[in-house]
Amino acid sequence: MAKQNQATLSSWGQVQNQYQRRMDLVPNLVNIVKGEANFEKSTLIEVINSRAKATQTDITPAITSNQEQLRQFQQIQDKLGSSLSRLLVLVEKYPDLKTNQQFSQLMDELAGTENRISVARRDYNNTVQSYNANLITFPHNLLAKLFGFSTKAYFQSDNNAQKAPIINFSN
Amino acid sequence: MIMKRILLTVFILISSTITSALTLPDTPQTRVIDLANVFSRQQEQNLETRLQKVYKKNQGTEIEILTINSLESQNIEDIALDTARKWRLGRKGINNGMLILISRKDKAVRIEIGYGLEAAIPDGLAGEIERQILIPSLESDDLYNGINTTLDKLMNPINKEYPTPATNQIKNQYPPYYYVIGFIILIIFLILIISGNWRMALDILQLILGIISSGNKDSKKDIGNGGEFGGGGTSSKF
Repeated sequence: MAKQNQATLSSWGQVQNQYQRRMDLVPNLVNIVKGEANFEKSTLIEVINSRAKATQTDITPAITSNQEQLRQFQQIQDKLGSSLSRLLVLVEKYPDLKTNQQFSQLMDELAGTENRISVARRDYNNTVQSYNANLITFPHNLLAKLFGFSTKAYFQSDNNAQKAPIINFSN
Repeated sequence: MIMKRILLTVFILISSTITSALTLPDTPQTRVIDLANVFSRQQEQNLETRLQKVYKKNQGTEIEILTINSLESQNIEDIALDTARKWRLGRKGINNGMLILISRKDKAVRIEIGYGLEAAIPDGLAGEIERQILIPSLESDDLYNGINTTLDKLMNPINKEYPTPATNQIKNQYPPYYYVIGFIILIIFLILIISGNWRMALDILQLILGIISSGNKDSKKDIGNGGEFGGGGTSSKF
């Protein structure tokens, strides 16, 4: 049980890493896009704001035992995700950006990170699922009460939010 | 609330059991698995030799090439990840594995990168290779050259990251205290036998066997036993 608890925590660590990775990429993206003249400001500001909100929240592994906290965390991150994907759709209208090599590599990193996020989330849900299943079976349920283990929270599958922005650069 | 939880569990169960409708070997016997018959026999052999060399020279860096006919309307990301994990590409603890997946009909490619190669081959490089080399070579029906050029591009960073061959030393599987405990148990076992206490001796024997078998579970081989992939890499589509 302690081993499985550890597994959920390490898969949680991966989730957090990947979200962090996305947040680290955003300033680069913002900088490149800013350089583009006449770029529509409102979408850009939305990305900046939702990233700021995501960095403000203080996250500890204890969040994995709290469905409500996890839901809030997910909501904040999904907001960043959806504002990012709106930005990426918008970017399609700017041919200069599309031919910018630095920009297209950044797009690769972002797309790769979206995929890593969904993999990490799925892995996390899987470890939690086997941990929770184990927790409610005898004799683990008694031991769990004794040692203070409790069930863990899942990521909700919201298909729209989970879909990575589809970026297709091959013309 | 309970209903919701049950539904969620069912959903997670279902989504985790969906695997690709493709039939793939359990473990890859060769570095090139050409299910779509893209390569000639000679080409396949050449690639095989080349990849074996990488495997020997660069600390067991395991690059696997898989061509399939169709994705059968599945995500190329899901297929690549499931396959790379199942095949445990890369060395244990290093995870320097990579899967280059090509779907012929969909004209789609994915370079799936293990944790141990993520630093050497960032997504930007993988994406560039796909856009500039692999996709054009699929278009012009010359995937063989495309793969070779891809390997040319990949070898530089791989040589830097893993410049030496793998050392094939087999690690000592048991920590030293195992031997001390083992010795003590053996003494007890002998004493019990000498004193004619067969029942207890049998219990001790069971204990010994239990310990040995639990030790065996951990002794996986190092090579071809990585398989830790976190969805790194990129995919492109024509």
